[in-house]
Amino acid sequence: MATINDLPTEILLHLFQTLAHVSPNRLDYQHALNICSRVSRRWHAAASTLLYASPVLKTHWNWRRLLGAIVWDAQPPCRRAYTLGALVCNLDISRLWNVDIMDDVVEHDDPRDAAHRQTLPLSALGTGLTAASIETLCRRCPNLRSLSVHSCAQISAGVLDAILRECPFLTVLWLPGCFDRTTLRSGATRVDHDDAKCAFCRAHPIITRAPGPLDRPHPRSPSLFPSPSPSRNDGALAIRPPPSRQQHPSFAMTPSAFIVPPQSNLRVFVESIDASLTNPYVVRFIGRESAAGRRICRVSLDRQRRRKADEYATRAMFKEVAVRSEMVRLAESIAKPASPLMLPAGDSQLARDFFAKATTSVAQARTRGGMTIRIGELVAHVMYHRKSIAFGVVMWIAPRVEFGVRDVGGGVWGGVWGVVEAEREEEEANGRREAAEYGTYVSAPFSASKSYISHINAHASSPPHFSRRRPRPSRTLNPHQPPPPPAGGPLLARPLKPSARGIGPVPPPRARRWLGG
Amino acid sequence: MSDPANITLVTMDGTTFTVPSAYLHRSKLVQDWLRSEGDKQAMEVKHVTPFVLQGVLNFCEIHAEDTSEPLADPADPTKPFEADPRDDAFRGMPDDQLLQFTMAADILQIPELVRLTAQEMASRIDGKSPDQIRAMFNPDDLAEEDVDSDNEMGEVGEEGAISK
Repeated sequence: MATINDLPTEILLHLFQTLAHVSPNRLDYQHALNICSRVSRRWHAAASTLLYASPVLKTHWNWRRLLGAIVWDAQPPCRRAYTLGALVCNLDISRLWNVDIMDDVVEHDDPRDAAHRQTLPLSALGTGLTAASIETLCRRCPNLRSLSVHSCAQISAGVLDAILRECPFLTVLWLPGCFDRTTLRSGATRVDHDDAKCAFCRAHPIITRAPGPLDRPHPRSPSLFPSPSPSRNDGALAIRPPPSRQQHPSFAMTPSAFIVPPQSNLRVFVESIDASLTNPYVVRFIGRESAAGRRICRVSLDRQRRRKADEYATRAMFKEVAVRSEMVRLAESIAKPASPLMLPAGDSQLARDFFAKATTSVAQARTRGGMTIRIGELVAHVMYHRKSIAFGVVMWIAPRVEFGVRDVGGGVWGGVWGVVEAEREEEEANGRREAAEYGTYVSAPFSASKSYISHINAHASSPPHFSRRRPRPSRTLNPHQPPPPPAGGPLLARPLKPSARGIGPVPPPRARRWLGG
Repeated sequence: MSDPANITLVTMDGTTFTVPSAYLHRSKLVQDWLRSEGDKQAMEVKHVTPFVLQGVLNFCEIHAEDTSEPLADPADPTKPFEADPRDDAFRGMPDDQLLQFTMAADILQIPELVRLTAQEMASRIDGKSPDQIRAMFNPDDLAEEDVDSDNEMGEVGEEGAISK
């Protein structure tokens, strides 16, 4: 008579993957997988590969459970030939940045968690993460392919060093909102961000030469992670002491001397445009990388930034930004204070005016909160005259969003972020009038923008048409055929519901499930 | 030399089933056997009982004239599908028989039947505890060390080791 242990591993994997169709959501699927992993040893071996490959982390409790399982599993004696950490391939801890840790602890008033509360570092409040826990996780997950961390202030250069050092197979690194939380608020330095970017360049093995010293203290923070007892782990969890400045190779280079061979395939999703492209170091780095013909870093701005609207007094509606090499080179030249504006011949007067305004109204922008530029119109011109890249980016924006130019420390090329226009009624009227006047508006997703770029390159002599974005538009943008005029009212950005945290969308109800249990 | 239009299958206890070859065109194992050893008298299907093989052949007969493209082997489990009403016999089947059909489908390499039985098993497993799952599928035949290992594996997932 056949038993459940007679099923071959392929069938077990098929069965467990089929559970995804039965379970209503990923968290329930994870829960079902965890139950299956506890049926028998063979089922555990098969289910763990799926359970730990892409764990769903929605609460800090999930995070601690995953971390605990991986760390505990690595302690001797371990009966298995593999560790659970080695099974982790994709890790998305972006949802933890908004988790209120104290609520989480109160909700799960488990006596076994008492020690967790005692050792909970205060720095994790508001982020749900600690630098040491991220480091430990990366150390235990050497096969990590994708890591996503959102708005975690604990991501320092040392943590970035550890991530890139411990995860050699990493291909996607999402770090949006991790470095500019304090810089934009204070409007001062960008040391943290520079450190992090430089740490990426230093730690990644694609760097081949790094001359010159970097005059910065070692950014590695002391361990906040509770060290286990020596009897349990024999010191395996102890954070390695930071190397001295003379020994550490990362301190023997300047950020302006990045030499990167073209075989890199690591994509880094680093930061919003206002924080990354304003940094001349970053601009040079990206420019060299793109000039080498490599896949360029894609700078991403996601909708999560809207949750920080109360901090920024803005609502960023960016979705995706792609950096092109010629744009970056132009941006680099603009970023130099003494360099003239390098506008090629044939540019429209509007683009010239924009640069002139941008250079002269920085002080005004400081006091008024930004000089608004109609980005749809601007991008239309910029893309038509493709050499006069004013912003240096191709961006997707929601309709009715304007962009401000501010001096946030990077000069004229400085901060550009979305500002929802306050006077919506006026905006409605303007929108109708402009739609009738121009008949064009750029508000297409990035995929459409790419096709548009190719169209521009092919038909540089004739400006194409744009389609105005509808509330729920299709994802295709046909530059040859103008769309019908917008029907039914203005295209306002979706109004945000008030939440307990202030302006911003109401966060989804927090899942009460543990990690798979 | 056997009749190419029919194929004879021999189960583990010697029972023979002679069915048209067209019925088993979705079975990768049978197709490979026909290509390589088609001149033999009968194909032995070990580890399959006559009852289970009869059920499998019924499934193949029902779907013999289906015009859909044969699935790749193994079937892609990431694509959901809707069960055919003609296969309702598998829904009321006891758990241990469903397990045997799953194994027979895997032996005969019929991805459509594997997908169907895996879907049915998944729907039965969902929401059950580990003990209930063990009780569903011949718990008396489980080795002792498998049962012992369950507690250990459970602790891995349950123990919060951050503070240790």
